[in-house]
Amino acid sequence: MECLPKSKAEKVYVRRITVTMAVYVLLVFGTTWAVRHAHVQGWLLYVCAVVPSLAIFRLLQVVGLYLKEETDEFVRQQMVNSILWGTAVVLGLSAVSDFLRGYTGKGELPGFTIFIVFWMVFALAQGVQQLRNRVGGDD
Amino acid sequence: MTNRLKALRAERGWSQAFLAERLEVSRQSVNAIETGRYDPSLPLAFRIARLFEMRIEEIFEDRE
Repeated sequence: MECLPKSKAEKVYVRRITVTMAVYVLLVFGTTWAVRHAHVQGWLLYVCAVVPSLAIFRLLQVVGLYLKEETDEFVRQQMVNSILWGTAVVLGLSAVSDFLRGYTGKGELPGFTIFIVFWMVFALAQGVQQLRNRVGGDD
Repeated sequence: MTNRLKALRAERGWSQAFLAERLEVSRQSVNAIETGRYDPSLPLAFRIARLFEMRIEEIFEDRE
């Protein structure tokens, strides 16, 4: 299997994702510290609770920008497939959870489950597609 | 859809990497088209046809 060069859009995507995730980690640690140690209260507490999700919105925007900027349609399609897989699994999972809660009162998913599962399935789908579409030696 | 991309490329002595570079796509894309795992969009099919100086239907063939 050959290590293929990344497209320009892919390089930009990786750089944006790296920066966004670094900002996300800083925001999570920052707000956690502010809430636990600075004893933030009132409206500022609500602001602190929402601030980390701004990085998540940026993350979603980065994925959207990549889909817009990637000129290789096959690579773009693989990304779309992965997003669809992630979406399908989390929609199914949330439906099961909602029915369980509705009928049994149990089955509530822990916080961030949907988000984590989406990205795990997305990564898995990307990996499977990379493996399926790997290229051998050039002739 | 079937295509003659691999044969046409071989006739010209082009590598997948060379063709990918000329088409401004990845080698993965060229490989997927050649092996029939991916049907290119119309704009990409036109780019391929222009590069080989052929008509689209001389490269791509509908199975039906």
